[in-house]
Amino acid sequence: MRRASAGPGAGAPGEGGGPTAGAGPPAASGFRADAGAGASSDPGTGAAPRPGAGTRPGYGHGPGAAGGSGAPRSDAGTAPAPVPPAASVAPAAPEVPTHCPYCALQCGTRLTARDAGAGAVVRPSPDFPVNQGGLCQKGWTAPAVLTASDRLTTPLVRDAAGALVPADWDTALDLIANRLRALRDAHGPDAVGVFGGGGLTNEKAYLLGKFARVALGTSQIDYNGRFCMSSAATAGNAAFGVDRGLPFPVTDLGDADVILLAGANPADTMPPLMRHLGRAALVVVDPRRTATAERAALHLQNAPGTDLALALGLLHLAVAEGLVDTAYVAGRTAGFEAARQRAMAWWPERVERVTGVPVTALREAVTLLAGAERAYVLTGRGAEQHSKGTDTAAAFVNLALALGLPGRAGSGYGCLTGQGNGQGGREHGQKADQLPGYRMIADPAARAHVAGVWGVPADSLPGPGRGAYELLDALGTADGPKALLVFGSNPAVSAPRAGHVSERLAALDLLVVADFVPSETARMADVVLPVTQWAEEEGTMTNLEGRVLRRRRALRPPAGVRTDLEVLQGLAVRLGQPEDRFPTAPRAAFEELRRASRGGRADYAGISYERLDAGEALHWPCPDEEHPGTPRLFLDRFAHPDGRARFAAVEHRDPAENPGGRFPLYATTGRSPAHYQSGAQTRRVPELTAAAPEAYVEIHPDTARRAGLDEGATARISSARGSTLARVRLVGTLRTDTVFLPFHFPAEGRANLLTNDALDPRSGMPEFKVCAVRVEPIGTP
Amino acid sequence: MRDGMRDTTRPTDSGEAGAAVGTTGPGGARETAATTGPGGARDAPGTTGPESPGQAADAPGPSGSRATAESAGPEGPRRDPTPPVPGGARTAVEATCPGSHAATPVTGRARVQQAEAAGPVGTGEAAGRAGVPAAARAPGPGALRDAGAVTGPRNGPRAAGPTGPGTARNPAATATTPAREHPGAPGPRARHGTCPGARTGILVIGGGTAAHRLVQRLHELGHPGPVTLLGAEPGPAYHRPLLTSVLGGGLCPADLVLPPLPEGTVVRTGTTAVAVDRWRRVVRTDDGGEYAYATLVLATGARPREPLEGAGVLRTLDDCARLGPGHVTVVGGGVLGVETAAALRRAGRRVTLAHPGPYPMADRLPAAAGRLLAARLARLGVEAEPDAEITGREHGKLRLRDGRLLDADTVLQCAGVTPDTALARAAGLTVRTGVVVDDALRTSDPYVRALGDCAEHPGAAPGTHANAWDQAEALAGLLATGRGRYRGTRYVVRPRVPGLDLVTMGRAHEDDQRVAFSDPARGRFAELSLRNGMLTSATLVGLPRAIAAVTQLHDHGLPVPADRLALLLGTAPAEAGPVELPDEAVVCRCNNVTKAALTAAIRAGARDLPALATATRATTGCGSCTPTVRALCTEVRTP
Ligand SMILES: Cc1cc2nc3c(=O)[nH]c(=O)nc-3n(C[C@H](O)[C@H](O)[C@@H](O)COP(=O)(O)OP(=O)(O)OC[C@H]3O[C@@H](n4cnc5c(N)ncnc54)[C@H](O)[C@@H]3O)c2cc1C
Ligand code: SF4
Repeated sequence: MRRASAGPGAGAPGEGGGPTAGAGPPAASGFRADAGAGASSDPGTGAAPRPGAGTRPGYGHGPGAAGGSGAPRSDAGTAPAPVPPAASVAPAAPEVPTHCPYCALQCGTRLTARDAGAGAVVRPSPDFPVNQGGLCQKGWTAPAVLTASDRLTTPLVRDAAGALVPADWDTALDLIANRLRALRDAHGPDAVGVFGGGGLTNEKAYLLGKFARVALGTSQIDYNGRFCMSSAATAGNAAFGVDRGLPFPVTDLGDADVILLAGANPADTMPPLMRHLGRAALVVVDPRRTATAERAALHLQNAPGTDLALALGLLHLAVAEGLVDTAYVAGRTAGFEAARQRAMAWWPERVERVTGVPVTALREAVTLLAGAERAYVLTGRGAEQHSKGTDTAAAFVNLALALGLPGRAGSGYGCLTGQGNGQGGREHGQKADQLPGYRMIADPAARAHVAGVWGVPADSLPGPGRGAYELLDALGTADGPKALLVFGSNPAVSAPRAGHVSERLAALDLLVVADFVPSETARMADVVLPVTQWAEEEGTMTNLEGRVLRRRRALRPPAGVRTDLEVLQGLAVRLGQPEDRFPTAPRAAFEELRRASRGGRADYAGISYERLDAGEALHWPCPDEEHPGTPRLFLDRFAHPDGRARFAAVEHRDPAENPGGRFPLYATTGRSPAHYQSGAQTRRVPELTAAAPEAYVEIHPDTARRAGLDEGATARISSARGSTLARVRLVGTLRTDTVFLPFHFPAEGRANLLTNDALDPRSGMPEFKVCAVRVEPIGTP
Repeated sequence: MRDGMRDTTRPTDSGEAGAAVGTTGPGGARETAATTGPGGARDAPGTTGPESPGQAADAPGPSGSRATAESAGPEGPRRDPTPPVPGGARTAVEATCPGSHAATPVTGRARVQQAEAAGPVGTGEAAGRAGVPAAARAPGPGALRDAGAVTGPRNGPRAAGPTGPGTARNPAATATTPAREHPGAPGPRARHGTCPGARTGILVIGGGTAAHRLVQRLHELGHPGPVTLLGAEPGPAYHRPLLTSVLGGGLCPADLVLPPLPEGTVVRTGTTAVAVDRWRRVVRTDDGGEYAYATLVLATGARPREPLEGAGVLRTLDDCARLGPGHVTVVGGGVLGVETAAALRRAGRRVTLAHPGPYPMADRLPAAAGRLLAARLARLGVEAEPDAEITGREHGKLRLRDGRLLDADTVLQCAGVTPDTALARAAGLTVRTGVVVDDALRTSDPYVRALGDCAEHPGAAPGTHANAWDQAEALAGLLATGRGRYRGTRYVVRPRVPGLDLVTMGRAHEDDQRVAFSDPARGRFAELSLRNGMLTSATLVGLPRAIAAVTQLHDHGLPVPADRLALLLGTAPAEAGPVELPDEAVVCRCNNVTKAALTAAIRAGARDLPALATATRATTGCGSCTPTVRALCTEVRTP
């Protein structure tokens, strides 16, 4: 049933795999390549495969076995990856090892190009330790986006009548360059903004930041990762002196006894991760009874917006029950006293009252964690996407520190990065306050170093700019940017208070969007630039464990499409930059990135395409070519000058908006298993659209009944900022005071029309995870 | 807290009465006065004198029904601020937080000074507790007089950050203080020519939770003016509700200390306010100091009822330290008595709990719940003396009305508390059981607010920590931003007894609908009272999940789910076997594969896991459906 890869022509997708479904693609061809260059160059060497993964003898050999009894494979333990049927045709193209285009798990895949223009066929890489031969439905169907029927293949320029019409590249780039120059002359360099994405490769993110600072001279650059990782990043930097999502390889989780997951739902959003969570008893903190919570030993179903109180309560219990690792706290940390003092206000009965989590469950959670030989505390967006997200993440870090977990082999704290290159994307300079290598732009030494690599005077570099939401909010205002260049993001759907953000986008003099499909933001643009996709380009991504991975090209991009690097160079040259300052070869860009990051917190200096292609598993920091990389950080010391981790003295506070009056319910937003982010990509995959075709709202049956709604009805959900329409799904396990909406859908189905643009004061993270709403049948005024 | 030995002093229905005062009484009129200028403001004291509402308030509420209400409340340990004990021990702890001025010291000794801005400019000697940045202070009364006595605190808003010594004298926060909080136009004093000056400061009397939280939140909300806190207890503020944990040995006293107050707050611990001169708007302290205020906040808390001779009480850390040796008889069957008895058992002490009624908390709990509580205490080794009404003490024993004599090396009386209103009463503020306040937490004098245990508000849950916390939150908002109001605190009692989950909340009415569940053999009990689908009261035992859920319904005023039994007992997820699964059931979530699709694939020849994975992708995501898919392989037979 790899039908989706056959492109939009494939009928009736997703209706279950009949026997014929698997017969089509000539994927078997790839198995031969397995023994050749493709297989051996797949990263993964060097990481010990876990039992059941990558140890299947004969996997990939002998296509004849594939459709048969499956004799060579054991069906015990982790599930085998599907194997293409035997009767495939001979290979036309080699199998290329690469990675899924979507989330931060970056599952290893093997891609085989089909005939020209027909996309590719994917199968999971059997030996990449992160996914262990697994893929989720998004990964399986990713090739469909390559052949999306509305794939952009020519630049589009808005004409006098207001329609987007095809144009050639020179016309489009000239137009952009001229208007940017004019705006800059009239209003100064900050009149132009740049908005990047956490899905961009390291090379693109790096050159985008350089383009903004050098070619545009603007400080106004930020990216959608601000909506994603920024709270955990801020907390992690403060606590450990460095921010790497998981400071240990994902596979370490497989040996854990207990894992606390705060606001993460990997069973739905990154299913193969669950293969590493099978051994541990899971403690899941989530207002919803998610698929992950279903599998937990203990589910702490807190009221939305109360994760911080919960974390404080757990620390309180650790103190009160004498479970604090005092030797560790004394030897490896600082600031415990102040954090403890805050936590003392959160005795369990009080926490129960605020969070709705039973005292017994709180005790059990702490007992489980403290009693485990190997334990982890992991946070996700559920805990972080709040106007107090940084403090919440910090409170979970505090708990982990008090129990002595971080920096100890077999235990730790981590955050589950969401976007494909959410990690690398935040390290190389597309963040408003950062330069490559996770250097801070306000730091003179950092400026000098990077300016040196770039060959420009340090004082020519702008200072820190606005964070993502503030940037969007300022568009088209008197002192805000008048033009915006968007790469790899779809803020018209994904930004909080999306109605307002759309207005701001519309207020621009010039909106330029580089994308491969006409996303909702692209449709608003004055100029749309068609760019390559994952399978059509080379580059590197850094996954959630800080491991740098090679994305490889498996097929030729459609005619008329350029790479983002070519776009940046084309614009830079038109803006008077020397051509060689903006290389178009990813490898050259990476070489420069290595130099720029040298000595920074995220040091890539020792990582090269050669080493990656030779199969080395390299986690940053990797300061030189001899360095083996750093799979596990902090084992000896934390990254602060004194080597100690820092507790944070944090206090709970209410969400920016509480239910009441006209808006009596909590709304929380998140992801559905079938879609990724704003859905710009996955909504173009018939199979995924069949699984989740339209906006829906999950609501408790009682609450629905009271609102006059039934399963399948269309509901209007309204907040103080706007309203959205969604199909009702009754979910008995929901809290009666809470509704849930996925944020992947466009137009009036946008969940973000509701969300609150209250920002975390330290990270700039908006409050995606809680706002106050009303739910009613449509037709109600 | 109610032990039957004494009448409760807090009227049950204080709510209604208080409401009347709050909304229609002099308070309201006064508010207008306060905002409309000197004339009105001036009138206020006259109309509000102790006479009018005060008299009524003085009467304790001794009626039976009131007693019930009172007993419900009170777990002593949940109370906050310490009353100013005139002449009470005072340590040398002085300003503990550096920063700009707090309220204006009018006169006083060296310690009554303005703290100047902290930071680089610290000029004075470092004082204060260890761990707290010392305030920079200008010594000498002379300085005081210059600085503030007449013109009020002059340094800029705290938000302005560290300032030089010069700026500390700058005029002031006047501009940045909410208008209502200081008479922009000259107040009474000006008219009479005795005015010590325009004031901007907030002066908080009391050093407990309410005061601490208020000051903390004022800072966080960006309140610019100076804040001074006078606390009678010697040390810094601490968590009173955790005192039983100290008795039990789980925590040490140092664990209870609250975080230091924000920089810029002037904190005077061991300093008791002895009089409020509302005319001059000055507070006098036991050390002879005088503190002027623009807004006075009473957070004086409550104090235990007068103990029996020789009996100890439990309200302060000092009380914990003073606990006598040997067999402890805890007198009182309220929450505090129950928690204290349990805690002392945890510490290995021999404990008797002497309480009125057949079981502890008898005035509050239905019999079935009370019996479960009594049984749990017995299991913990607490010896019960039910129906105990103590009449006196003889030869180290307690004599009960029915003639029983109880052994008691140490007697600890947990018999409830009374709001500490002495200062307010003497100042002529309206006092009933507590200092009467309205929704803006204003007393009968608009320049004086009250919160926490000492205050009386119709919607409050007297004597609870949540109460103090909510009121501090509301008052901070009002003082810092001029917005908001106190909306009341719902009443929830959740005693901490190891091994027992028990909660009781709200108040039922005769004609409420009842939902009851009793399973004594398994230690479970629930009784809900509903009105229009909303909870009015609930008592639950041994149902931890339901306790958490019901408390949230109650606190947030949410309708009770239609399936009451599921609410109380939870719903067991229906575990359908693979064969019973409906065809459209999704077996592999990760790849969205239905049972129908799997069945079809099996029928078409995919008979084992790998073949099924190939055909359908089932099991290739997280892998957790593997057992189900495998089962289907064997269950589904090809026709
Ligand atoms: C795990 C997780 C949970 C989240 N939960 C929520 C939530 O509950 N509610 C909420 O509102 N937000 C949530 N977010 C926030 C989410 O991160 C943001 O909405 C935002 O970061 C997504 O940005 P986007 O829509 O711009 O990205 P996407 O939707 O991924 O859009 C990317 C766009 O860029 C295009 N594109 C992709 N790659 C390229 C490329 N190489 N070159 C050019 N174009 C490209 C795509 O076609 C698409 O148009 C969550 C994020 C994560 C990671
Ligand atoms: S979306 Fe994430 S979990 Fe799913 S296949 Fe891609 S990388 Fe793996």
